[in-house]
Amino acid sequence: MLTEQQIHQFHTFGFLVLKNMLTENELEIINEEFEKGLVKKDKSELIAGARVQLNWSNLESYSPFTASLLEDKRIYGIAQQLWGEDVVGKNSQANHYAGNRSPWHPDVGPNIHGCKFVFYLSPVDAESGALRVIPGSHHPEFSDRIKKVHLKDNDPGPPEDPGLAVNEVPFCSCDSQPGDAVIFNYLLWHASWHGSDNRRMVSLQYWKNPKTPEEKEAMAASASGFVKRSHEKLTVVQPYPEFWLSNPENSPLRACWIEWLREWGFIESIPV
Amino acid sequence: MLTEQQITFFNTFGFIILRKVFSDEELAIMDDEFETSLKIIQRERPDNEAPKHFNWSNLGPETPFLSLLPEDPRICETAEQLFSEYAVAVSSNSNRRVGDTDWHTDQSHPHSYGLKFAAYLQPLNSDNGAFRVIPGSHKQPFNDTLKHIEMDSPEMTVPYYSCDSAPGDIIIFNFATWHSSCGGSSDRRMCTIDFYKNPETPEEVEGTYDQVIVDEKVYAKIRASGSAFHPHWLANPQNSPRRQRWIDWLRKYGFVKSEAA
Repeated sequence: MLTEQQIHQFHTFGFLVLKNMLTENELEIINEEFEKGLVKKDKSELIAGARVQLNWSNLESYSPFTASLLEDKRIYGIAQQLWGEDVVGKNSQANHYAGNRSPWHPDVGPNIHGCKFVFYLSPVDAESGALRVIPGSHHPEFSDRIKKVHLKDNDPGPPEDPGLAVNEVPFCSCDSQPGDAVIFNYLLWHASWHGSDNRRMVSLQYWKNPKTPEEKEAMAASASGFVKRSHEKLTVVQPYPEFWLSNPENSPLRACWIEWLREWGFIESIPV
Repeated sequence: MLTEQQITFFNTFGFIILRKVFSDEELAIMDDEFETSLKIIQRERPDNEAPKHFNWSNLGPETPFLSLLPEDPRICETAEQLFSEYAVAVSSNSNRRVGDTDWHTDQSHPHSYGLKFAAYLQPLNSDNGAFRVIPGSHKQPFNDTLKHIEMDSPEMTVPYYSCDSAPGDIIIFNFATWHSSCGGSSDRRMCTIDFYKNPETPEEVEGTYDQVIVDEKVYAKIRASGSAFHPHWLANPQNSPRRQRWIDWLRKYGFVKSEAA
């Protein structure tokens, strides 16, 4: 669980690095499940561009341990501390990157709140693909200013001054070892640089239950686009697997989340 | 001169690093003038006094190259670009620091705006005392949020960007940008030039008058040596119109007292 200081730090800077959250035994299982998922993944669904990314849901029957992490109190409890008791488990994904960088971006637009836990499965630092973040950039005023900076990968300027490469933007590097977690606010600008062609990462994502009219409107808009995009294979948005939706262990927490996801329209229909 | 993108970078992140501004020949002169004046300063101090921070003005005749830096077009025209109207050079100092510098900003009043040009005379990285900065922390509400955190508490891990630099580079930062350093040697050498923004609103005028008081206190606290504005510089022997404009402004707001003329 987080201390008051860590919670304050997260909301001020938009991220935290927590050391040794997972044991070596757990990492061994996650690595095995990752490998199974990678073998099964349809390679034609490779997302090209700078990342050269394959991604898939961990909520499948062949990765039961990784799937269970979404409901693991060590992780889910922290999400509750950050976003309230009624925080919602959004997803768990595996990501394989063969590209040498991820361009700068936040994960969502305004008024969607929540966080992502990322676990890199090999040691990473600033020059080998660690998550780079701009501290404090989850604050809307700062984020809006960053949007005005030309970035070579996503918003190039004129040919004579095309903008900043990933490594030219000031950053803080979230160096990590296997077992460490980097938690970041979805609105935080992040990137990576000089990653290997076999960079592996598992993520767990949580949403704050929307409360204000603006938050509810943004969540509804997110849901309406979610189902459509999840069917367009070449995207990082993955649909919810039937295995997870069937909730074979009758987890009350998962049942509550599934009901929430249906109400908001993130799940199309009740699986047979 | 800065490009439009460099200006956007500075306005977004609150600092910018300009590489290789000074030539090797210029750096040799800067090193000589720094060393000469440091020896004079050290002679003025009691033998048993070893302050963490030596600071002295470069506007005297004994440091002719450094005294002219505020008027160097590479410096003053850049400052004018960043403040979009005339910026006023208010100091050109040398600093010798020992050890770490805690997190702080250089802004003393919410409506007093300034820029600092910092040229380190040794190669520095994050482990040996390079300038550390929190990008974007010069703007609200981020700037105020940081005031409510115990930044230097051992339990707090403050994320930062390290402005690694080599001799000849210049780091320009907004006074409001949070910065620090860690792991520096006992002989870290830096030349700085400060510019203030000409106040335009009643709040900014108040902030400028407030800055006069703060500057005097800071100068006394660090026991800076000599006057901030040497009579030789105030005499403006080359009749520089830009310098004269600055001197008039400094007198108007009280940074230069009449007896110093």
